[in-house]
Amino acid sequence: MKKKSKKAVEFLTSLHKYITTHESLRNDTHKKNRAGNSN
Amino acid sequence: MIHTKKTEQAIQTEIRPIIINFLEDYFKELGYKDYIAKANNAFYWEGQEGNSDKNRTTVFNSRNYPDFIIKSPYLIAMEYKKSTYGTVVKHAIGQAIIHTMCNEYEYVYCLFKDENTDDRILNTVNKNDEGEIIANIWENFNVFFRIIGNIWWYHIFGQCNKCNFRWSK
Repeated sequence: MKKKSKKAVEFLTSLHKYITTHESLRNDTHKKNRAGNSN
Repeated sequence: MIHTKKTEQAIQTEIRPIIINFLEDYFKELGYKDYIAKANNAFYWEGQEGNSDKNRTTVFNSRNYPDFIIKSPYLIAMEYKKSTYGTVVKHAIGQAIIHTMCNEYEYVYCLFKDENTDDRILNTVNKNDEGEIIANIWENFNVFFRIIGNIWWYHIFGQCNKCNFRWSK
């Protein structure tokens, strides 16, 4: 097993944060949620 | 029961360019002149045409197919799953562990979305057994496992219609 590096941990943490807070996904789903709620 | 209408595959399709954007930013910051090419070369997704199948490790007579592969700066297999069932979490953990146990990848980033309205899978992370399992697979198998909840999802990816909470970065 690869020995964990501090930089790799930072990379994974940053990637996770980037994906889960990305503006385009948020806006797109928001639009679809609102469309769904109106039904 | 509230579900996001998007299929797992649709979400994967949306996550793909986000990962590439992340890698572009990463390599740009490192000073790469052609950071876009560097980012695209460092990334592979399931179904992409290429010859990487030939290089995949076979275990139990089956090849490993992560949803995404980041080849640089670290060799990372990425899996995205969503379900209302905890058994899918177990399946995802097993799959993730195999990726690093075969020494095919240095790390695994596994993102699981709890589709239950009450976040019942996410809430188990605070319990001893589940919390220890997640810590253990990170410690011993380099599996970076994260669960996001449905309520959380609506906060992050839209607006929760159950409360007035608004996400701020």
